[in-house]
Amino acid sequence: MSAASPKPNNAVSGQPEQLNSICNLIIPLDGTVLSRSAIPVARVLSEICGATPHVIYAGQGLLHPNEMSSLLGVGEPQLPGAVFDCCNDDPAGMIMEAARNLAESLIVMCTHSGSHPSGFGHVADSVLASGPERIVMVPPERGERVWSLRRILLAHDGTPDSDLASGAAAEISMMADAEVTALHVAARQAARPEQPGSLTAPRYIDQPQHEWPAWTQEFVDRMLTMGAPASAVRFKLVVAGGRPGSEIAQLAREKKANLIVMAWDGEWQSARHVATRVVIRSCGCPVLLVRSRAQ
Amino acid sequence: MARTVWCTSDPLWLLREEGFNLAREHELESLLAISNGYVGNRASLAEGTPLSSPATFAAGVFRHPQTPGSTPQLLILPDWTGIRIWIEGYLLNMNEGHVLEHQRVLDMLHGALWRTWRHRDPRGRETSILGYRLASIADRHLLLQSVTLKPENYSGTVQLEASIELPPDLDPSLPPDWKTRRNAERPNVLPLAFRMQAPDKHVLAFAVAGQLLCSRFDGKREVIIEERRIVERFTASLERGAECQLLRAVSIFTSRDTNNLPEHAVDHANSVFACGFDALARAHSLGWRERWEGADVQVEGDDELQSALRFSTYHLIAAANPEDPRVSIGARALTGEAYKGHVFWDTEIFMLPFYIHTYPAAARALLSYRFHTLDAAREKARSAGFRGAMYPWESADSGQETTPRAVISPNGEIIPVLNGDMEIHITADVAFAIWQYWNATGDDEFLRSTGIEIMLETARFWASRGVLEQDSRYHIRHVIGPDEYHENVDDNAYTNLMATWNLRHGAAAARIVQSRWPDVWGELSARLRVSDEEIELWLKFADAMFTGFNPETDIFEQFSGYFGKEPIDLKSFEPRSAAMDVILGHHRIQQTNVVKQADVVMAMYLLWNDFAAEIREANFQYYEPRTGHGSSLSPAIHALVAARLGNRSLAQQYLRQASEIDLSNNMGNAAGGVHAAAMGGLWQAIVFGFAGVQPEDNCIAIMPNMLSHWRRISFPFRWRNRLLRVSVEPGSIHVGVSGDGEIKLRLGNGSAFVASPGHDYRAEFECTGSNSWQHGDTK
Repeated sequence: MSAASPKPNNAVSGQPEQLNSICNLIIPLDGTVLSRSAIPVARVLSEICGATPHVIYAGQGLLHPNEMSSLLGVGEPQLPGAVFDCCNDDPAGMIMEAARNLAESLIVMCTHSGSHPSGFGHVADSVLASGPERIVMVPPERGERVWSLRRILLAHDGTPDSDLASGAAAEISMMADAEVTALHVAARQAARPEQPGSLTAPRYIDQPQHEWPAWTQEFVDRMLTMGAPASAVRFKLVVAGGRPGSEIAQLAREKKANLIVMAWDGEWQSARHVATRVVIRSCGCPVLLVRSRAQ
Repeated sequence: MARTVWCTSDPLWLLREEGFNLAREHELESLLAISNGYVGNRASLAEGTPLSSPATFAAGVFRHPQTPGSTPQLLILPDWTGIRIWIEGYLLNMNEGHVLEHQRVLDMLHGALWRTWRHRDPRGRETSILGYRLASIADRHLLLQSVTLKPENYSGTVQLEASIELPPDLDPSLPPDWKTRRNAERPNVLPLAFRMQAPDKHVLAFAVAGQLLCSRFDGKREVIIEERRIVERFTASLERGAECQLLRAVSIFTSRDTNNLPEHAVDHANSVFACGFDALARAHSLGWRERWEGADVQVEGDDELQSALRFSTYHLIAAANPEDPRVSIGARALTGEAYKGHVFWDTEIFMLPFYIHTYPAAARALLSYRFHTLDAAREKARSAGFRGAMYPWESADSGQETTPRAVISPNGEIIPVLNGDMEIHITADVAFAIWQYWNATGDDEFLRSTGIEIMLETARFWASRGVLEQDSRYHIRHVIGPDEYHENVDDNAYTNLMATWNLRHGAAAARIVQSRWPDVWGELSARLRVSDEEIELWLKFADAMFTGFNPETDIFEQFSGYFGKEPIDLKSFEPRSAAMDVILGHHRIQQTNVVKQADVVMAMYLLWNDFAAEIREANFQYYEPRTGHGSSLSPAIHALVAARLGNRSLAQQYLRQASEIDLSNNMGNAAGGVHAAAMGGLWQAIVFGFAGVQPEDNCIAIMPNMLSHWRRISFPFRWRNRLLRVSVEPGSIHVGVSGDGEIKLRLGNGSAFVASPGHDYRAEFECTGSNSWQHGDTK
């Protein structure tokens, strides 16, 4: 409001665009066992979304699709209907190019296939640095166990940007008939987000018996109206206090979440993404990052 | 087409929201709400959005859900604000086409909500719309609404559909003849009457009178009566650039007001166009100007604060109705559903001083609510095993305790709510407010007829609630103080200090009535069976009260055992956007020394002259760093006390925090309604803190504590039927006195003197030599 905020919100902003359906999956593999951890996840997502899997060989040298299939050990049984594309000497560039060229695409890749102290391999790091719109990072530790999608954890920081992640979580949950737990972390040493329309955990709880029901209703109303279709999504809200990265990862483990959905701004090197890195490294399940429209 | 209501252009009187941000819609509905204390209306967009929560509330009209664990809640009345506009069959809305301009403006000076909207539809037609609505302060049963529409670049058929509609969750029984009350003699008036299902007894009646004004109205008017709504549809052909204006007057009556409701409402609405829409709107605007004359606080040199102060004052004015002594103001006033319209200590301690000193009639009505609910307070005390009156922590229409017994936290934990049993300081808060009102107004009739009974019954409660224990001290155990982070504690300092005050002033009030109105005392003492011995006992308990005060440190222990709580360094959590109990958790916070809100500091403020300066200073210094301000009530009180103690930087910091509670656009705080008590706190911070006004028993003292960038604070201040015009500048105080009779003033650190009506008094600060204030009569 003009009375307290010298910069009124002049933009006419309504509901954010809904996440479009996922039509193409991009699955980078480099021939290592660890990289294959993305396959079970991609397979399920392909099935529930009706999306075409595109396997990209992110190793050395150009290969014929048959050679790729053979080398990577990926065929119809593992990824039905997969399309094989060979990579040049810039795997990250090719992954991003595929993401741009293939309509409504989603990258599904493992975080690293070798030993990396940061927990992110060179290719994954480069892809993330390019700011893909949608990417699922799969921890290699999960191996090639069958993956199912029953429980989604949506990490929501209370900003309208996070509502895009709500939309993605809602869409996937409806396709998979999965339940969604939305987690909002009231962080210590975290300033209020500057984005107008943000709703973080309350600064004032005059009377919890009234404040919590009112705040919860408002949070859910905004999340569903702004980001997700209101019908047919089973949302549950949890509020925790602490450090966002570790709280999200911990709840994911406690709830045995199959997938975490988070919004991000595409600025992978930014200090803002310390929590995102912590989540991806330590949650033990795939993490879907959905980029906000501002980027 | 001429405007029927004017809107000020002074930005300091306007709360303006440009553009449209759907996420903020609930907040804006609260912030821009209109109200007149009888009825309040949220500022929902007339055509609706996916996040619109249109709601109209009437003070004192609650519904009582019968589901287990539920408590009364303000009833949402039928939505009378819906207006939909079709241009050649296309429904104008914010989600389609292109919004060329959109602005909502609350004209706080005149109490009207304006909206301008220019829209290009998908076919390129540009339409401009100017609308306003208001809840008349001149006639509290009247709501007015206007929409002016202009096709800017086309000619075509326009349809305006105005509705009145029952909310989805309302299932009233309709009087059988409700559809047939239309009268050929009053064809423009549409009635809607309904009766709430048992156990709610309310009967409500609405009547709508609508009129479409066009330069050439050759269209038609249709009335559609459906099961849950009445629609009035106007169709007109408009030439490019020609305007048409839809005027609507809505009358609201409830069975709390009168019998023969539908007839009353219909007659009332029918009279609108006879009186003239313009005249009614003008009467409303003049009513607001009059209220501002008696209430406006001006801070020159700080526009942002000025706007925030006007915003607070606007909502405080809008919340009160001096004509209804049976209602009080809920925590969110009539601006939202949150807190269910329940009344807390917020009214007496945070809002009431504003009314006492700007609008005493409203203050009296608010306190009368506590008199009308005194029997319920007596019953609460009796059922808990005590004597006298024990006011409920939360109350609605009946005055019974309405605090929910449990709350489910967002992560599913069921947390018992103990406030209804233990947060008993509200009983002393009510008595304190009674006394403040009487002392400030000299309203002896109120004291004799109403106030004295409350003073006696509350004192009697405290005399039964505590126990004189073996240490010869009077202890009050198992309570919750204002610091609600610590539940079920013994000897909360605020509670015990206020109980002491209540016991002493209950006795003092008894002596006053006894000596000045012996016949009143005779009847009262016989009816209540109050004896001199009982009053002596009150004073004995007051003298023996345990307060946790340590004379070596000058510090009160907030409650027994507080000093042993785990120390938390609150600074290490900064910057912080969430309450500390969210970050640490409900159970952990109770083990720490984090204080939720002003508690001992609140007692220092309310009982200021009972404590030596070094005690006030020591306790503020001790508790301020330990306070997490998890309540919206806390920052303003800290600003006030910091200002009085001369800590200007801290005072400024807290003042800013207090002024942003509802107005920040990235907190979402106000979605369920505005924080009415925080608004009252902001007014107190300026008047009692920075301007340094201190009402005393027989004197008004003023000791300013200005911020360096302020040029002047000025405001009207009522005191015992006199109007003081106070103006404080750096180094000077100026007070104009009007009314009847002399009063005592003390300006700065000078001596008290007698001030006469019709005179202006000025004091100058002399910073050399004695550092003292010198005053003089400047008439």
